[in-house]
This record gives sequence, structure tokens and C-alpha cells, in this order.
Amino acid sequence: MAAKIKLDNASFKYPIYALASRSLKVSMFRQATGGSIGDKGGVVYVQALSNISFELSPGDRLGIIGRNGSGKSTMLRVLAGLAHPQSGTVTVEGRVVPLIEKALGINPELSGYANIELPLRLLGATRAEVKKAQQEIPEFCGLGRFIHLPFRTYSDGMKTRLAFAISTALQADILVLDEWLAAGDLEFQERAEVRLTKLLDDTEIVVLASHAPQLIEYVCNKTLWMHGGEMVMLGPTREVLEAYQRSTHNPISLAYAATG
Amino acid sequence: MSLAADYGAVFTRWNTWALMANQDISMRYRRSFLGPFWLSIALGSLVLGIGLLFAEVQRQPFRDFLTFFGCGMLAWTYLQTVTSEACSCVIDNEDNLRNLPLPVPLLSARVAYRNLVMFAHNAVIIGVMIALLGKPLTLLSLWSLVGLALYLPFALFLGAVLGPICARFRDVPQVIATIMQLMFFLTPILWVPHEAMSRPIIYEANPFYHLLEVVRAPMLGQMPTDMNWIVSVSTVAILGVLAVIVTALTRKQIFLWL
Repeated sequence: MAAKIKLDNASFKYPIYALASRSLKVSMFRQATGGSIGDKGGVVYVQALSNISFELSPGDRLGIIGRNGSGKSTMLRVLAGLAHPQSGTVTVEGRVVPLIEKALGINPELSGYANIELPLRLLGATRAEVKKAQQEIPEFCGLGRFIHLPFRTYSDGMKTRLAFAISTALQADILVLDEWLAAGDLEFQERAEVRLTKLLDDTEIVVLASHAPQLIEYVCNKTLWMHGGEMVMLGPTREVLEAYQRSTHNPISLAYAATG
Repeated sequence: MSLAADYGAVFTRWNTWALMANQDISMRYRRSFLGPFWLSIALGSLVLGIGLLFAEVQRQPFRDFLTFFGCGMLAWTYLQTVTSEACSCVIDNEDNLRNLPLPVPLLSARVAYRNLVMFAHNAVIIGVMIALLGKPLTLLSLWSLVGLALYLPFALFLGAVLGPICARFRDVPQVIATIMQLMFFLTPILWVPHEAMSRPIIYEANPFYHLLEVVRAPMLGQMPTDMNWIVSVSTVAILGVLAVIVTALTRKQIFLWL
């Protein structure tokens, strides 16, 4: 079965619970009186995504660009099956591996080696995948005997290396990435790049959210520009990035546009 | 993922919750020789101290009472700890749940199993105590294992019910903690029920009493009553139904409550 992503008019909003409305007492009181207290019981909504529609099929590498708060992270969480839009439909077919946050499931007290399994299990790895990762990760990281020392004793560089290796150990149909994975200033840049490129090549659909046009241009063939939770533009990467950069009067990105 | 898949994950992804629970336990052993046994030792000394005092207060033969109280505390510690940890099973995993799709039953299975391991630790200490008191276990005591087998789905379902509710309403854990404190005194653990009590309903209407009995009675050499089994099994069954309902209602909402 080929991987597929389809969003049809999907909208998602976060309720922001004022402290008061999280309490059971207030909620029961509201039920009992049959009315509403204050501003809808103190619940304020943030519209994070409005009417998003697009479709991705194998071979698509979608970059999502936009400023802070434009809905990039929420978009990733919708695709990862974490956030469920209140209206519209989302169809995702295939095995999704979400790499949104770094070092999930890593226990600093345990050795690097002992830390390989849980993050992978959390992502849904099978026994065979864990076995394979336990063999290839120590070699890839080049941590030597450090692999058997507690994770907390590692230098930042070593931590990043291990976290990167673990995150890139699983083969998915659909990869949902935040930029940390691709943009880190890794000491072992070259080997990391080879590994990441191979992973992306073997993945049917990639979705990458980033602030950095360079990164998106490097990885993605399609780009979605988001602003305030809405789709501003969706199309071939170069066109969208040019439009995006024209709209942001940011000297750095202008300089980039001039050289690119 | 569907509702059925959420519960199916308890079986298909048992590696995940077992690994999480084993890591929890190994953390308690970190740089400590006795590790979680310290909790068992604390339990043992509590049983010994309070037990001797209350044997005197209630004019009970102290060997019998200490055995009764020790076995009661062993079972109660499981029930009470899983209840309070059921409340935090979702909240404790906020970071994971924000970034990975993890079914709640997986998180409550972790609590159920982790506490089973703790139960085994405690059972060693209480077992030694019972042996020293000259109240050895008999073959009938094996029925405790059947009772214990009910504790696992009890804990699993309780976490699936309370975890999401406690994530939404953050003062529910306090309410539960208060109730459990009261239940400790309402359940015959520290006091021995007897025929002459005018209102046995005080404990007979308490599901914790029956859940306690299915594990405690066999250890004391008695068979749990039919009533004990019926109430315990029904409690677990009702919790199971509630768990499925809560999961169905909340599985798409939990993300909003983190």
C-alpha cells in the first residue's frame, strides 16, 4: 500500500484553559446552573489551523515554512495523529514516524546502549528493528566504550550524536520532522548527512517544518507557506520560497535570495 | 488508530510498557544496594510497630494480628499505589504524549506491572515475617495468585479511567487521595471485622474490602467467600466498561489537556 496524506478543509483549535476551568468544582457548578460562567467558562480558543487542504503521495517532500506561531508545529502534530482537527478530515495511510521532539524516552541515568531501545519502542519499533539498531548505532556514533557509561556523563556533542542516531534508525513510510534533526550543527556533519539523506531517500513521504529556507530548499520539492494558521501558498519549493522571502523584509533572507 | 487498537496495544506493544516499568524499577536500584526493598523494609517496620500496638489495643493475639495486618498491608499497598498512580499516568507522560501517539492503556499497563514488581518485593519481606511468626503459608495460599491476577486488569482499567480525567481536571488526584486515605480506615486492614458488628455493611459495601480479601484470605489460610469473588470480578468488569467509555470519549481530546 502506498503512503498517502490527505487533508480536506481541516481546522484545529486549542482550548486555553484558565486555571479555574480545569477544576472539577467549576465545571460541575456550570452544569448545575445550566448557564455559563464568564467567558465560556474561562475557555479561550486559539485557532491554530484554518481550512487546510492538501494531498501528498509517494515522492513528495513537503516543506512547511512560516514564522513562529504560524501553525507549523500543529501541522506536524496533526500529521502525526496527535492533534485531531475539530472539523474537516485527515487521512494518513502508511507508517508514520514523528520526529518532532529530540531525545524522547532517553533516560540520562542509563547507559547510551541501554537508551537505544525505549525511544525506538515509543516510536513503535519491532523487536527486529531494535536488535538491528542496537548493532549499528554504537558503531555509527563512534562513542567507543562511552556507549556503556550513563548518558548524563556525555558531552553535548556525544548526546546529540546518539539522539540523532536513534532518531534516524527507523524506516518509515511517512516521516514528520521538525528542523532540529536536519539543522543541528553536528560535529560529525558529513556522516550525519549521508545517514539522513539515505533515510529520506528510503521514505515515501517527508514533511519537514523549518524556519530556514535553505534547509527546505535542500530537502523538499513542495513547500507550504503558512501564516496565522492559514495556507498562504502551496507549490513548487522555489516559487513558494521566493514569494515568502519577498514578503518577509528580513535582511538575512533577502541576502539569501540575492545569492541564491 | 482506533479504540480497539488502543487496548490491543497492551498486548502487541507489551515490550514498551514492560521496558518503561523495568526502567522505573531499575531507577529505584540506582546507586542503592537495597533499592526498592527500602520501601518494603519501611512497610515491614510499619506493620511490626503499628501491628504490635493495635494487637494490644484490640486485645488480639499478636501473632494472628500481625499476620492479618501484614497480609492486609501487602495487598492494600498495591491497591492504594495503583489508584494514586492511575491518576498521574497521563500527566506524567505529557512530554511523550505531545510528540508521539501513545495509547493510554499502554501507560496504565506500565503502572499495573511496575506495582506488581513492587508487590513481589514487599511479599518477600512480609513472607519472611509470616514465617518467623510461625504462620506458614499452605497450598490454599496459592489462591492469592488468582486474586492477584484480578489486580492487573483492575489497575489497567483504573488508569484508563482516571488518567485522562485527572489530566483534564487537575484536582481529581487530590480528591482520590483523600478518598483513599479514608478507605484505608474504612477497610478492615487495621481492624478485624467480627460477627458481632451491628453494621457489617460498612465494609461489605466497600469494593476494596472484597478486592483485599481475594488476596489476603488465602494467605491467612481461608478461602475468600463467594461474595468476595463476585464483587471483585464485578468491580473489575464495571471498571473495564468505564475504561472503554472514557477512552472512547477522551482519546482525541487528551492532547488538548496536556
